[in-house]
Amino acid sequence: MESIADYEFLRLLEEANYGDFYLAKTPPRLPVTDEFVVVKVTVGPASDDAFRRAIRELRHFALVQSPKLVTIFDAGRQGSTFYYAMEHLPLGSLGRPTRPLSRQHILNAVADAADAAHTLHENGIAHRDIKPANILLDEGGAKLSDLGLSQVLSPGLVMTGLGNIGAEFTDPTILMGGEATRATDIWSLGAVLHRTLTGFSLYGELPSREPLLVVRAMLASSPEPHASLSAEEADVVRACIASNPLDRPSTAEELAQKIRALI
Amino acid sequence: MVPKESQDPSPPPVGHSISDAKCVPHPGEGVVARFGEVFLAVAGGAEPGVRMLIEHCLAVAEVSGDGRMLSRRLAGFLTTYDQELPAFAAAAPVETGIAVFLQGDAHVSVGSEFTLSGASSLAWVDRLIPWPVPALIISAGHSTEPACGLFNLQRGVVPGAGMTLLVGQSTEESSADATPESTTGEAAGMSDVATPDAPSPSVSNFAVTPRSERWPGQAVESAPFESVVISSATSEVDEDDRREPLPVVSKGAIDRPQLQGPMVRGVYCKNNHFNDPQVLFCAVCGINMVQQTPDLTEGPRPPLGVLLLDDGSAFQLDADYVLGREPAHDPEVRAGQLRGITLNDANKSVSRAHARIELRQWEVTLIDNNSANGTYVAADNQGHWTPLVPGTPHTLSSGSSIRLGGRTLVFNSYRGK
Repeated sequence: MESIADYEFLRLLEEANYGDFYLAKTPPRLPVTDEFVVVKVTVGPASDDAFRRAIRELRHFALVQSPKLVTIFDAGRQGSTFYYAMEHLPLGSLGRPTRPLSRQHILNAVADAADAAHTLHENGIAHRDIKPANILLDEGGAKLSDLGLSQVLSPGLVMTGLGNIGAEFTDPTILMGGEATRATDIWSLGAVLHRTLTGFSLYGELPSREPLLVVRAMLASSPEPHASLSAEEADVVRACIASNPLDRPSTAEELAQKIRALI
Repeated sequence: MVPKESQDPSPPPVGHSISDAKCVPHPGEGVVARFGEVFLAVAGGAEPGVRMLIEHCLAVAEVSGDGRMLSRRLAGFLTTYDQELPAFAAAAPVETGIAVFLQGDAHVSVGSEFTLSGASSLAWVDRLIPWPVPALIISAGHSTEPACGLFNLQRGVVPGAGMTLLVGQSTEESSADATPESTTGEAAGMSDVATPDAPSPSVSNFAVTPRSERWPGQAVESAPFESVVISSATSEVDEDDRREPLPVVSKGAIDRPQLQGPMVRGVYCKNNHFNDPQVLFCAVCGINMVQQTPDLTEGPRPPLGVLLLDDGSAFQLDADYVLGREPAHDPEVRAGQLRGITLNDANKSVSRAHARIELRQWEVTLIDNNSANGTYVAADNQGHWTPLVPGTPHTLSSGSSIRLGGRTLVFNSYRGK
C-alpha cells in the first residue's frame, strides 16, 4: 500500500493489532507543523455505524488533554477502509526502541503510560490495549498511543487473532468476558513493566504456538513475576496482576507513583 | 473426513480460486504436499525441518488456508529455525490473489511469462500474484516437466520435485457441480491454460500489500475519501459530551458499575458485583456469596463469558451472535440487530449463517441453524463430539468446545473462573 486519502506513505512502520502503521508525509490540509505523521490503516471494512462510533471514540480521546497522550490529527475513510493519523515519535516504542534503554528510562516510560491511562480513566475512557508497542518513547519518558478501537469497529471483539500480539498483556478477566475497567488497564501496565524489565512474559514459556492453546494455557496458569526482578519490582508487578481488583492499585496514578519510587 | 460442499456454494470466477485446482506432481527428488488450498514443494526430505514445514502448512490449512497467514508463519519459522533447510516454495490464496513464499533455489512460474526465484535472496521471497491466475508451476527440485495428465494430488504428501496447478481445470466432481456462469465463453477461454498469450499478471510486493486490500472494492488510489480533523483544538465535541470518570474500586465503597446489558434477576455480592443467583462465589471478586442473604433483584446483566476462536481472537458474550462463513447472510445481522462472527475454512464447510449464540438469562446457548455439515459440541477436552439437533438450543458449560466445519471455538464462562 502506498497511500490512503491524501497521505503518501514513506514506509511501513509496524503491523499491529487490528491494523498496520505507516509513516507518512503530513498533507498541507492538516493544521500541524510536524513534517511526518503516523497513519494507522485498520483491518477490514468499516460500516457507516462502525465509522461513526470510531470517530466519536477518537474525539473523546482527543478531548483528553495530556502531554503524555499521543495527539490524533485526523480520521477518515476511503472506500470502506478506516484510517487515522497521529503524531510521530522518532525514538520508537517500548516494544521496539531505536536504541537501548536504561532501566530508568523504562521505568519512566511505564510510569508516564500509567499517568496517561489515569487521565483517560478520569475522562471515562478505558484504553483496552496497553502494551509495549503502544508506549512511544520520547527523551526520558513516553507517550501512550493507539486507543484500542477494535471493539468499537467490531462490537464484541475483545482480542484480535493476528498472532496473539496483545494476549500476554491482556487481563485474563477480559479473556473471560469481563468489562474493560481501570483495573484491567492496570493489569496491562503491570504486564508491560514485567516484560520490559525482564524480557519475559508473565506466563513464562507457553507450550504451543496455536493461538487457542496459548490462550487456554494462559487462563489455566497463574501469572508469576520472573525471578530476575528485585523484591520491590516484583511487589509492584504482583499488585497489578492480583486476581481481585481490590488488591490492585486503585488508580493508574497510584501505580505511576509506585513505579517512580523504584527509580 | 472431508466435509461436503455446504448448502449455499457461491463459486468465484474461474482463475480466482485454487480450491478446486488440479495439482499435477512432477517426478523428482523432494516432497510435494497439498492441504486444501495450501501447496508446498521441498527440494529434500531427510532433514528434520521438512517435517516441520509440512506441519506448518497443515496447521495453516486447518485454521484458514489463508496465504498471508502462511507467509507470516513460514517467515516466523525461518527466523527461529537455526538448522539447514532445503530450498522450498509454498503457496496459498488471499482474497486478491495467490501468496507465494520461496526460500533458496525454488521457483514459481505463472504461465510462460515470468518466474520468481528465491535463489538470489538472502532470506526469503514472498509475493502476491493477483487473480486471475490460470496456472502456476511450483518447483523446488530440477524437474519442471509435468507428469502425464492422469495425476491429480487432492490432499496429502507425496514424493516429487514440484507441481503444476491448473487453476481453471477443476477436478471431475467439481466441474459437474459447476454453476452455469462458469461455463460461459469467457470462463471457458480462461480455462485454456496452455494458451501462451494468456494475460500475464503483474507482481506486486506482498510484504506491503495491506490487509485491507483483501476486501474487494476499496482503497483504490485517488478514490474519494471522507475525513474528519480530530485534533482537540478544532474538535466539535461539546463540553457536555465529556464522560464521567470510570468508577474507582476501593475497599468498602464501590459504585455499582454502569452496565448496559438487559435486565435480569440476580444477586449483588458484598462488593456490589451483580451475579447469577446460582453461583457460590462472586464472578468478579471471588467473595463467598453463601453467607449473604439472597436478595434477588433486577439488574443489568454483565457479560457471560467469552468465545475464543482457533485463530486467537476472542469475542465478549454480552450480546447474541451469528456464526458463519457470511454472517451478514442473516437478515438480523444485516440490520445491525445481531453481531456476526465470520468463520471460514479451506473447504468452505462452514455454512453462511451456520449457528447462533443466544444469551438466555444467565445461560449461553448454541443453536445449529440447519447447517449443511452440522454443529458439534464437546463438553470436555476429550473430543467426544455430539451433534446438535438443528434449531434446538443447547446450553454450553464452561470450557465446552464447539466445531463448525473445520473451525473450533471454546466457550469460557465468566463465572467459571
